[in-house]
Amino acid sequence: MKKFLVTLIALIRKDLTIERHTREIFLVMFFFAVSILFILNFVLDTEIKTRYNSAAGLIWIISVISGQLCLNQIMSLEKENDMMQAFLAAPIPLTAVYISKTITCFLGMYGMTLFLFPLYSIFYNVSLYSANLLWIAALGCWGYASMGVIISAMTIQTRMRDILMPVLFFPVIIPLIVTVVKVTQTSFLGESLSSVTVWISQLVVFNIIFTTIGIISFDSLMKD
Amino acid sequence: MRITIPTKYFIFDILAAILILISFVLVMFFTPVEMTMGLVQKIFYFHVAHAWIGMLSFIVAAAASVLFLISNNSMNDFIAESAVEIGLYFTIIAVVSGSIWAKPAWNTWWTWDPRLTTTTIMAFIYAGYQFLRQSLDNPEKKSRILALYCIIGCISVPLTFFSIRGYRSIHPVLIGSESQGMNMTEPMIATMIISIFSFTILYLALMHHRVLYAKIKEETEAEKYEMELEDERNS
Repeated sequence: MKKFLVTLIALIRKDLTIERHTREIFLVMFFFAVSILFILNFVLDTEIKTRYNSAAGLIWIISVISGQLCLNQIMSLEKENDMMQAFLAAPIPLTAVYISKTITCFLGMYGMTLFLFPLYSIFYNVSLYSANLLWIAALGCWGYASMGVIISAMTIQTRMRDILMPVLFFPVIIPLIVTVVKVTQTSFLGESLSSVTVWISQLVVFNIIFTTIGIISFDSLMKD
Repeated sequence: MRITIPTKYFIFDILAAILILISFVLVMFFTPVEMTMGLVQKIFYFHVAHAWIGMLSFIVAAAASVLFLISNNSMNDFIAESAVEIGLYFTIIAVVSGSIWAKPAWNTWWTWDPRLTTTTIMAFIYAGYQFLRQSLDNPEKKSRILALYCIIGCISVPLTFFSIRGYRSIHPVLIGSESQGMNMTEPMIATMIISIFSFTILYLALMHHRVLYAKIKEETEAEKYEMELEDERNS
């Protein structure tokens, strides 16, 4: 267990250090998200109510599309210089690689999503502040990252990896998106979250299922 | 290379052709015209059969994928590949025929009903599987990755259904509902069962041929891959 944790921390630190030096993932993803947020201004109705009601869906769509950039890059890092072969040869549990990638991707997605809420509020003049968003976004982003890393691990081994990623990933992630949008919307509208207990339970269950699938399947996905 | 198709395959082919013909005659001349929807309701006998084959195919593909991961027997991979391809076509036909039916019945080509949405998402997952198969080269890894994606897709489909079931549905419930059902007469029920059975036999016939094709294709591709690797080593 100790070895697992040491490996996990080392791998996360490695990814974050690469990101600190290159700024190829998080910053690009963030600016991409902000540019979509800007474009929305030209297609959204000017009525405040419409902007308010569609906020949850739009913010999550932006997160999902932007997050895909992170997923594409996060596994491609290991493809360069055959780093994946080094992982396979090293005496480390491959599950640690999966969890570390999921955590790194989660951190990027979570940070970006938390930025998007106030940015949307400022740009579109609606009030979207709620403490519940912290854990709702965390659940949404973790589910996204846990399944995304698995699909990304599949697509990096193909000839058309960047194109294939959304085609494979988006249909699979739909239940999570539907659920997280519903819970976020309820939170935005200021309604009691007790009215969406079933949806919250679904969100938790989806996270557990996706993470379990990831842990079980990552080994056989990567090994030769 | 000379390919011989086993004789038993033709038995299924002929049986499927006869049964489909019988179903067609029954649908056109035996079943009564539905009171409110009229002639367009007759699409329903084929629509339900196609949707059933789509669902069955998806389950077959997922089961074959699980078996492949356990046993590493490439026959299971061929079955999964075949089931996905045939299932994709049947699912697309089910969605399109449902849409043709929906226009006069519900006055709309499309509605975001959980069943419609889930079936279409299932088609997207099937399509994704096909793209994934085309773009993987290494034959050993290919089968494993595809088996995993098929299982993930199979888990995702019921999750999608449960996540959107809260939305309003106008799709008729054929089984287990008296209030929302179609109130089908006995000839209608009998024809529907015969139609589903006929298409299941057609599915079996298609599966036999497709699995044989998958086997031959895989052998050829494996040889090609080996030759390419050999060329790379030599150069």
